[in-house]
Amino acid sequence: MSSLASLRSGWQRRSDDETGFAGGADGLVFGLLIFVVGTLMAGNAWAVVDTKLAADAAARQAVRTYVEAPNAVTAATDSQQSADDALASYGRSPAKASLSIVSAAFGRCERVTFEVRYRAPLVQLPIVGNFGLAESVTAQHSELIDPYRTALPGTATCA
Amino acid sequence: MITDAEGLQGSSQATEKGSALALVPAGFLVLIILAAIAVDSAVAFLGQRQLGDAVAAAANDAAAAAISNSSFYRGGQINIDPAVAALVVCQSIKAQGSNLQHLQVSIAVAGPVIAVRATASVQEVFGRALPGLHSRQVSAAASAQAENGPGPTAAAPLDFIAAGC
Repeated sequence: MSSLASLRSGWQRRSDDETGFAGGADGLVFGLLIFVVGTLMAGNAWAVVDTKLAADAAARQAVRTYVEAPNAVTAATDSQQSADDALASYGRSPAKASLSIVSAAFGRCERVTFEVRYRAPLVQLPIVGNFGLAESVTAQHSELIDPYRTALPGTATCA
Repeated sequence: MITDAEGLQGSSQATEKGSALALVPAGFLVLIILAAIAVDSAVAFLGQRQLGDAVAAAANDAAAAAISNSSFYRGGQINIDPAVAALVVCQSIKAQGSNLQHLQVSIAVAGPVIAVRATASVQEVFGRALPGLHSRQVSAAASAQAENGPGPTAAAPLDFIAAGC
């Protein structure tokens, strides 16, 4: 075989052989699918977990403020403010949250239970930000009002 | 001058370029697995935080609500009644409404000091798809002291007993 024929043969083999390309194209398509779907799944799960952390902190702060408040009116307003501050410190909008009172009679030995509900974003990714709205996340916290506090109604018999 | 052997060698090297792309999905899969591990770790951290909040609230409730009346009215001593404390702790932890599983609570009382310790398991999000990684164990402890006057006294050694929740 002459050198020219050998060169033509090698060139033809290179340009016609699609075996490697077929495998590579599959890899690109499936790799992209895995990457996009996996990123969305992980982003969604992270969004829910992060929102739950924020809601937990908000519920805890609201209850702590309520049980330490000097009177019922201050307790209600201050606990709402505490929950809003906790959510804001986690980078969440307090306007999107709802603070509901499960039980909150203001007296000795009364159990105070607050629930914070927040609509988690569909996907939350670092740097990129939050997108869409997913399911609501709820968090609950509960504490007793100190039975030996002054200026409160009720008896100091909790259990 | 190019021989046949050199032509064949060049051809086989060219086909290996495409096969390297097959590593792309494997690489992305590794990234996704790492993200799943990060999310599951965050879930475990969240569970640990919830358990920590629950035991702190329970210890705080018990320090206030389980003070022994007989001890106070007989000798003016502020002591926590262990039986009442166990009841209050169990009520408090149930009221938190957390979704922690296999919760085990123990308390220790020494005079005016109560310590609450708890362990629980947290369901993983992605790990539950794998055998043996369904849940992760978390634990937390908190203590509180009932006090009247200047400040806390020296801490006494504590022996934990099961709260029976």
